[in-house]
Amino acid sequence: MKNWLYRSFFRQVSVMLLIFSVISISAYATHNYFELKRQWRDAIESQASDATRLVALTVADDLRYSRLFGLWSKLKRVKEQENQGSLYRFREITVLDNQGNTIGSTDPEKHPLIQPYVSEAQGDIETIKSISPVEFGGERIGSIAAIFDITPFRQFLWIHLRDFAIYLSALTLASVALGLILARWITRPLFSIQDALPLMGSGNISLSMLDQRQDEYGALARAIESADKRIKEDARQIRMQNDTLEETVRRRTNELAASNRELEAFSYSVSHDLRAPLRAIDGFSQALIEDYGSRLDETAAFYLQRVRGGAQKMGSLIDDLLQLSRVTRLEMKHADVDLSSIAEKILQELKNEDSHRNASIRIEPGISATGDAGLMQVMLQNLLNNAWKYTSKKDHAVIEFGSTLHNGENVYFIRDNGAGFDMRYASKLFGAFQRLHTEDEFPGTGIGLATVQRIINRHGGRIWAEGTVGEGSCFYFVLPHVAA
Amino acid sequence: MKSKIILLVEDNPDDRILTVRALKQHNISNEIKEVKDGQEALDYLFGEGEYAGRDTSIQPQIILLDLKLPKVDGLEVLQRIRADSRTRRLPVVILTSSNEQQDRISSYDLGANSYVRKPVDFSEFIEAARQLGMYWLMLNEAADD
Repeated sequence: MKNWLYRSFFRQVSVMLLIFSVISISAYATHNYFELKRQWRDAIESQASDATRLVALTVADDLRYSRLFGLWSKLKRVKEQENQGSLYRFREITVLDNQGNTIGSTDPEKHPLIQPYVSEAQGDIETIKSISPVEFGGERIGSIAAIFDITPFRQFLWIHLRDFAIYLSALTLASVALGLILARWITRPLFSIQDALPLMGSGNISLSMLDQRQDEYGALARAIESADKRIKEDARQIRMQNDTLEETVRRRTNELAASNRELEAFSYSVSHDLRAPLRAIDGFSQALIEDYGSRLDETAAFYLQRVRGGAQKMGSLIDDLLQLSRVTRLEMKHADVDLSSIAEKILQELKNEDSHRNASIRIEPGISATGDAGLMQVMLQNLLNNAWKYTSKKDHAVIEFGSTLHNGENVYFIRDNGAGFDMRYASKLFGAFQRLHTEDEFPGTGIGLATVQRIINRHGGRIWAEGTVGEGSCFYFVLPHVAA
Repeated sequence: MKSKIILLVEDNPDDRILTVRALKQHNISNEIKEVKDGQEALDYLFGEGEYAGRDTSIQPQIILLDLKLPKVDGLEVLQRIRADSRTRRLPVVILTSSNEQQDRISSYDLGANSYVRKPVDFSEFIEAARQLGMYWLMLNEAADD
């Protein structure tokens, strides 16, 4: 019922109107009925009393002189005469003397018997009673007791009430109909507003039927029209700003692409052109040593070795720098990468190059991560090269690659028992060109860990390290799981 | 013996000297034809320009090709070699000056047979020769021993 009612405003108004009409009209009808009944009854009682008094006047002579037959026939005449069409009629007229004895009555059973008057209720007949004194020459000589049958009045009332009910029903229907029309009339503009609202922002809303009105609908229609225009204008401006923004983004992207290409060309040039003179320095130094070694003294040969060492160092600096810059620029392709097998291969190569070394390698099998395979390779290469390099002075090197769960995160680690580092300098580990060892202790460019960190950063991961001087170090990293 | 020519395409004179020296050092006594740019290499191979009239039925046994060359670059030279029926089957070893992945990928795509790091990393060179089935290079080495 509630749902049915609330489905339409029109329905709610109609139901309210109907309830209100029925209640108010029935209240009025009830009040009216009782008021009418009371007034008419008062009128009938007063008329009946007048009629009784008239009878008293008529029969005064006969009562005084005890002309009982005349009295009786008069009573009978009065009763019959008063029967015509009125709302009340005599049912019974009784004449009593001063002692209360019945002298004459229209009721044959009471006349001429002397017995106290008893009012009788006879079935469906409604009666009223009226008593009037009979006077003769200013003296009371008896009284008239009349009983009136007012059943016609009741019928009259019922007929009246029926008419009234018909009239009120018609009125109710009319008022409900009027209410419905009114409700329809009030709610109808809502439909054109409802139809207009989806067009909000188009600038085309025209509620021409409503916007001239001075009532609430007029105000609403004008507000909707102006909101429509304002939204359209706002949208136009936002579009314009968007276009500008897109244009800017496009321009910036092009600039970026151009600068990337330039950088690419620059790196290419560095890797090719910078290396050529280095090759000459290294190559001719080597040629000198090899071809003229016999004519060089020890110092000259040593110097030439230093020249070669310098050239080679610069070569690896170029390699590392290029790698660092490439790691940042390269487009990443995410895939599942088997870290264990990559680590295995790298360490195997290192072992092959340095076969005299005594090293234990422990690689947890089946470690994988989501990331760019090339970058993962570069990262592990750098970390494992370090582990290999910094354990080079140990009699027995132990290098471990594994993973562990820490705070619900999968943490990878590469642990070695090498030179380690002082935790005070841990923050400097990943900076480019930052080194914690001298070139004589462990050669290096100081770019490797910076490259590692960039790779981890590009994958959205974290890397940190723990170390103890002389006992080894452990590098931990976390890679977020990304759908490949 | 005349047909066992090594064609060295290299613009950098230092690298040319060092490459020739490295080959000689390792007892490879083949004739080494040195050309200084891509155009000259093509002219030599196809008997055009200053090499007009050269007997093009005589082709080098192996080409050592630098990628960064004046006039016509190494990749284009490689492309032209592979496109011509006279030179299509010639073994081409690319001389690389870097680890640039891109160089390697594009020259493999164009049909390079192998790589050797500049000036000549001799162990790499021998490995390349082995892969190419060029036992004569090693044979030379043995013969001169």
